[in-house]
Amino acid sequence: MIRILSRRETVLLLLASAVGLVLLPCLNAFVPTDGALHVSTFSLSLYGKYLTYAVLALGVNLLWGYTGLLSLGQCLFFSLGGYCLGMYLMMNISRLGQYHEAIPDFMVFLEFPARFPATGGLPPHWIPFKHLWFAVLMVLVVPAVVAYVFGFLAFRSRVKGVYFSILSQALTYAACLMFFRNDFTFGGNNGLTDFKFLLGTPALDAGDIRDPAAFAARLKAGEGELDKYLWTQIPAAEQAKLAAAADGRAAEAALLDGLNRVIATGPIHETARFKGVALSDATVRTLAQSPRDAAMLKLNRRLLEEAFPDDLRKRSFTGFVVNAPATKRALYIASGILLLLTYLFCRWLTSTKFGLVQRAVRDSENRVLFSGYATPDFKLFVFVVAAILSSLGGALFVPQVGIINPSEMGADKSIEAVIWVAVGGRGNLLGPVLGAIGINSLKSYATHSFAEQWPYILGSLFVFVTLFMPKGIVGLPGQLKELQAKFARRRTGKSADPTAAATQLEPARKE
Amino acid sequence: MTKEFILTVEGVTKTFDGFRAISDLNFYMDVGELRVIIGPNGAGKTSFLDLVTGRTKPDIGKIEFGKGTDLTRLNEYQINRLGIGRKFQTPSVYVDHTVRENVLLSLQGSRSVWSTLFSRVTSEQDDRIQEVLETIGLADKAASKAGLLAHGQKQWLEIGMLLAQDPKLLLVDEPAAGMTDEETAKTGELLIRLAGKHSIVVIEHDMVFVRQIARKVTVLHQGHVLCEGSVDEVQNDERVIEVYLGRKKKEKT
Repeated sequence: MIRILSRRETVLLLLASAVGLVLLPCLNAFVPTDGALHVSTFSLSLYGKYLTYAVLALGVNLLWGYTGLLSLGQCLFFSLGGYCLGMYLMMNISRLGQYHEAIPDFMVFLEFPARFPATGGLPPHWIPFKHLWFAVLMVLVVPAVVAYVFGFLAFRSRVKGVYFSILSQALTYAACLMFFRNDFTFGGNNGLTDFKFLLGTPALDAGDIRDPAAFAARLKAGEGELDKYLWTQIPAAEQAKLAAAADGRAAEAALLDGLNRVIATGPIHETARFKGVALSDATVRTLAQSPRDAAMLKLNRRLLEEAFPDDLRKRSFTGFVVNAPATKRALYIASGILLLLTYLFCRWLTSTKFGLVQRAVRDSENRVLFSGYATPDFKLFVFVVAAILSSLGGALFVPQVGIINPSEMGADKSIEAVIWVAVGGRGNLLGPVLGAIGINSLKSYATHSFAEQWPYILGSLFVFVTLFMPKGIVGLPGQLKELQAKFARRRTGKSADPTAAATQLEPARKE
Repeated sequence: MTKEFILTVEGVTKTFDGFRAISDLNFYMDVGELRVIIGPNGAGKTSFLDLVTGRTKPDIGKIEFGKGTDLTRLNEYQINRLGIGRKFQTPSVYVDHTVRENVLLSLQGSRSVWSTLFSRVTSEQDDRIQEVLETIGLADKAASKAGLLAHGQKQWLEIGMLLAQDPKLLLVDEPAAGMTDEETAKTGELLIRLAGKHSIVVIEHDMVFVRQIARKVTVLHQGHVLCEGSVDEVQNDERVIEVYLGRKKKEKT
């Protein structure tokens, strides 16, 4: 088998992985916060964001650097991935929003319950996003389908060059406008935000209450302080529903709704209420911290489990809190692994015969077409692959940044992604990664030191690189070497390299 | 019984924005023939190649390959897969690929996306590449980038890329353009060697070169066949002298 990675590249990747995937997370986890080497969770999360941007940049590069397709709409796919995962996160907020409703807040204030009464306000296409597997599947499928349809139409009708760029820009802009609309059901201009849990939630689920009817009766009887408290906290509407429930399932649903609202609204612990309940040490320790929000919900659930050991099923895992340092660290590591895998995938793809065809399309599409290759199919394949890669980046971007809104698919964002690639150096795999991480680090620094000037800095950087560094940062060593050789020649008075002259002497001819 | 032609063009007309690039063109070519097409600028030579290779579609008329394969319904890559190779006027090779990779991409075989993802180069393919490179005299340049080749070498490489496809019909647009006399002569020898095994259409301006390779010449004028015959017949034809050679002589004086 042909070795795909060169020795130097292998060493470089191992080194980068050791620093990025092991060292930085360890410095965050094990060095005390006041230590000089401590990496704050905020910084780590920021780096995680850069890594997802680097994945996006590799997608742009696969199109622009390797196939000659300058897509000015790649952030659309990044955002679509973000939205798909964002929907999963929204479906698992577990009533911790402002309204403590079962549906996300924006659906409440946009009066979705009136629009979708059958589902209690939830648009039908949102329902399956409760499950992570479905959301992840959609992260792969949605951008692929959009890219396939757009690419199919564009490449079949031989849309090329600048026309393709403009079309891709129009596509992302149109999508952006669509997502801005409130009735498009994706949160309008606020987008999706205020995420709480990942991979599970502490909310009571169907089956968690062993005998819902008996438990409801017990609460209603209100013998203990806690029973009484819980029952009175359940809103009248749910109580009525519980009374009117035709079967066991409807009763269970009403009880779950009521209890989940109670435990999401505020801390349920009070010494009087939990008199006689043997709380575990861990719970007592957590109580002392008087946690809020997501951690409070976790505590409330544990309190209930410990107060009603016979009625409630005990669950050892109640999901990760999105904003917890450990979760952020895990997301950062996941982003690093995604970037590494994307890099390796791109390395493999570009080293196959497919990669040869890809670059041939970039350099001389007609020759490829007249050599029997269906170039539209090849371009379509790369376009779909790049869309999926970008989408995966977006999916990991969202939980780390904590928000996704339509401005992420704005026209400017996609152009920015192209600038990262141009500055880093296109047509190789290291350049886009360096460009994405480098420019975004610079941006983070610049936007709080001189925010007003940032667009000018970015613009000048792009112009400078385009004019003087056509191969970007990665091409700089080669350029310097060339310059050195030129000076050396000038000193010795030798003429220019004859092979270079031969290629330049080629007569310019009409097609 | 009708004779079998490799290429049959009958009553073809192609208009671009009111301009008749090809007008009621009839053209027949035997299997294994080496045919040269000449004609003044704008005679429709390149348009003719565009029609045969599927880049443009005729307004009316019949274009058939071999025994009744209708080319007007097929696109560029489908026509290529039938065994029709085209060399462009400007050398178009993959400048960023090595000479060997250029030929590799042109070898016969499946052209699907899937096959390119998982294919490996077999030893037969390696042998074939070597054979092609020797035919075009670039065996020692196999590992250098095509972009670094001299102009003439690029032209040969492109011809080699066509050979690698082992086409039944080769369409060659001005192969000697921009070449030195020596390179031109070498190109002529190469084409003569290939004739018989392949049917070849060469479009050319350079009369010295035409004389070297031509057995049968077709003269195009205003998108129409003016006359056909040997080089001598054509050069002595009154109409040809008037529209093409004559005018050329006048220009020289």
